[in-house]
Amino acid sequence: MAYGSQEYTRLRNAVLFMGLMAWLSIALVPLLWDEPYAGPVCSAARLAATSWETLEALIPTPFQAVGWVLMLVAMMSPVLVAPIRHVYASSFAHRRGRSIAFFVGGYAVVWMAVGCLILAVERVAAGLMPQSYGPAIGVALVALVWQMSPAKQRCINRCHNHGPLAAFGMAADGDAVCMGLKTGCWCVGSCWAVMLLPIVLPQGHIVAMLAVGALIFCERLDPPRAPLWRWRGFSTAADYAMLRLGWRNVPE
Amino acid sequence: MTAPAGTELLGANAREVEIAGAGARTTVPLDADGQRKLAACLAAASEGKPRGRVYLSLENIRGAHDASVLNVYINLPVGARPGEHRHLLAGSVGLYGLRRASIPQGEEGGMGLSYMLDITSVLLELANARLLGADEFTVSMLPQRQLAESDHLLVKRVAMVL
Repeated sequence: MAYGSQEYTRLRNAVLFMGLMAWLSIALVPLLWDEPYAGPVCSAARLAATSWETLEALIPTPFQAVGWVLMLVAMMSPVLVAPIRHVYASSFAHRRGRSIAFFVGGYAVVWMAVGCLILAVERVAAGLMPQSYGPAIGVALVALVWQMSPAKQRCINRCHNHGPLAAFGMAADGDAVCMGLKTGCWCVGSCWAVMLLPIVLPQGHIVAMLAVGALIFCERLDPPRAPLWRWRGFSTAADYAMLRLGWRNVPE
Repeated sequence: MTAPAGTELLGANAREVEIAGAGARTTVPLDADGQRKLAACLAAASEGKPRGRVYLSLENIRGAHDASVLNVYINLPVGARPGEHRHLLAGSVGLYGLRRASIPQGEEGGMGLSYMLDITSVLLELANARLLGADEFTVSMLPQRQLAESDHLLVKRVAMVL
């Protein structure tokens, strides 16, 4: 599907701006609010929690849901630019906002459902080994194996695929929702392990989010590849950085 | 093909098209806003003040027969001989690499091939001859050589873009 560079730039900037606002909310609310455990995503609260009950008393579940949403918006907005651009270009001008809303809604449903599972894993980890890096070490090992696996590559390949959407009526709405659900499922398949890591860390939550967000963004820059056991994540980003820095010449 | 600035969807067909044997036809209805913009574009072009180009998008073509060339016609009359209507030819697309691109577990995830054809001149000619309908077009996709019975091509969507 064709789209102009100006349109792409405006759309990309709008999506990234929302991600930036989410990051600022995560980082600044605890600093601006006097309450020491303010903010839905707060490392200090997690560090102080000696059990799930304590954590829940400090950050009630609705706030955990808000924190999860902010985390998703912050970390996933860069990788949603391409599918949102596809929905935008595939829709009539008067229904672009609606189609994008349906797409984002479908995507969010998948990740919110997965968020319940992830928060449940955190509950178990906090109950069994409070304030311990043990769960994080275990998750990191699982994430490392998954990162190199062919199954992960299949999920990433599917994330790159954006099929045509119906243009008219209810079919267009349905296709946008379905695309959101499918994109969400493949995104979960690709990212579930690394998304778990910041959740189970007793501290350094935001730093881990930044690192995981960078990994997710960089691995999406890679083109679709054959599903094999290999390290994946930063090859395209590294090539681009070396080209920009003049450390590598463009092949003739 | 380089994507033009300010592209906009004008219309698209409703369902997947299966191309078998001698070819297939599909109807591409235009959105009300799309009709108005297309008319304005063609009117400006006929006055020598072009305001963009019109493209036909063939999206997600899948199949197992690589050695095919599809000839795409706009508003080809039913039963007409394509050779007698060369002015309606939007373009020809070679489907090399189709089989590999259509493999579901392949690198492309089975999304097939997609093409964009500039149909501005064809539409201008139809408009000048007063043969251009206001709200829909028919698109005929005819293989250069008739496909065997076991060969089928699927085109997920045919769309018109300004």
